[in-house]
Amino acid sequence: MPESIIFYIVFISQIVLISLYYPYKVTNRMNEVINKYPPSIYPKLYPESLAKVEKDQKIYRLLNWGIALIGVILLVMVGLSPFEFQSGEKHAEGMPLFYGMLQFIPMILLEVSSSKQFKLMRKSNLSHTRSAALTPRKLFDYISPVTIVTAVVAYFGYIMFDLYINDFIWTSDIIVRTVSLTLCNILFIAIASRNLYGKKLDPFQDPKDRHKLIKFSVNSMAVVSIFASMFYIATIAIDWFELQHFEIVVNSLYFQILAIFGVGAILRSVKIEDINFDVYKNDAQSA
Amino acid sequence: MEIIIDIDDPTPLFSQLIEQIKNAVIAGKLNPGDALPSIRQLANDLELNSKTIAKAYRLLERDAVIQAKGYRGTFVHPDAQKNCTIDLNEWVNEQLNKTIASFRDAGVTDSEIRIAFSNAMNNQKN
Repeated sequence: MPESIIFYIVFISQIVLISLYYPYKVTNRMNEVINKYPPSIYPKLYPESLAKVEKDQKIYRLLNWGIALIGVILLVMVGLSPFEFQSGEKHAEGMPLFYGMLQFIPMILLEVSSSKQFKLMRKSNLSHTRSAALTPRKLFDYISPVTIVTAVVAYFGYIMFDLYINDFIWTSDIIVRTVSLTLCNILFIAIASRNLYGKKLDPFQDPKDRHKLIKFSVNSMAVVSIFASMFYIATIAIDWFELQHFEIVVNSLYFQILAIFGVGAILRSVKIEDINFDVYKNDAQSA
Repeated sequence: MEIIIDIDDPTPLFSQLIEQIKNAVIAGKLNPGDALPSIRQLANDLELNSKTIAKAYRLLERDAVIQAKGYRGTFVHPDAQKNCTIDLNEWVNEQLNKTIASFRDAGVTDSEIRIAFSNAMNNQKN
């Protein structure tokens, strides 16, 4: 049963990567920041008490452990049930998708917590001076035109492929898929646009660090958009070529790719030692 | 090139913006044809109301220090360096002083001047 073996490997990889490995890296990074840049020297970095930060970190860790445990239970359940990857049997294909959504909940909560921290930072910013660069921020200063063109080609490529498979007839399934992918892309554009032109979340952030983060965010959104289109193409191709036993693997790989290009990319591209933490000292002027 | 606004300064915020952009042009930090940030970007970065930035840009455009080129954005005017030295407020004050002095010489009272000035302004609005 090679399909089952592939599924187990990929699903175990999904559990380990998203619920154990990246959360471990994220909490390690948080601890590194707390140890290297303590509240006593960098008070502006901690609008809330350190105890609150540690509490949030603990919740994040426990949630991930809990979700990893759920993953193991699901895996055991699948292992114990008479599991066959046959065409038309849809009982397990959606599992990596729903489990993947569950796995991203701690990350979303962490994101919500960060935005609350930034809000408190802005409230605590008592500086009466405001500064801004007198140069416009343009999309192509942050992302190569090739990446944008690739994302657009992937989007229209999916629509053309789906239509081609269905003899160029707009069925309700195609409409639903196209609308959902379009909505996803609108969301990505909104997030990238907010980072590019929107309010500065961290009032103390060094302009160079802001530039790096915007660059990361815009590129990350474009790459995720490309993979979303490719995922749609892959799921249609699976149905077309009757390779349903690969659907579960593709679903799992999709979430792993999202994690690699989301959390993984930020951990790789934004190094702690490259960030200017001096702006969070008490005597530092706000940017 | 960075712009710094002091929100506690008694000088109006839009005037601080105008002054700093003009100073940057005079100092050669901003050259003719250089692109300026959009109103939205500058308002968000400076945490100011976009109307304040729009007012500053409008007055700079009136003085031919900057020029808006539709969707392409806002740029430093080709004659910005020369136009930065022209102070329209000073010119208005000078012209008004001369006119008021000539009215007084002709025997017109201050209240008549005020009423006439007010009427003229209202007529211009209409």
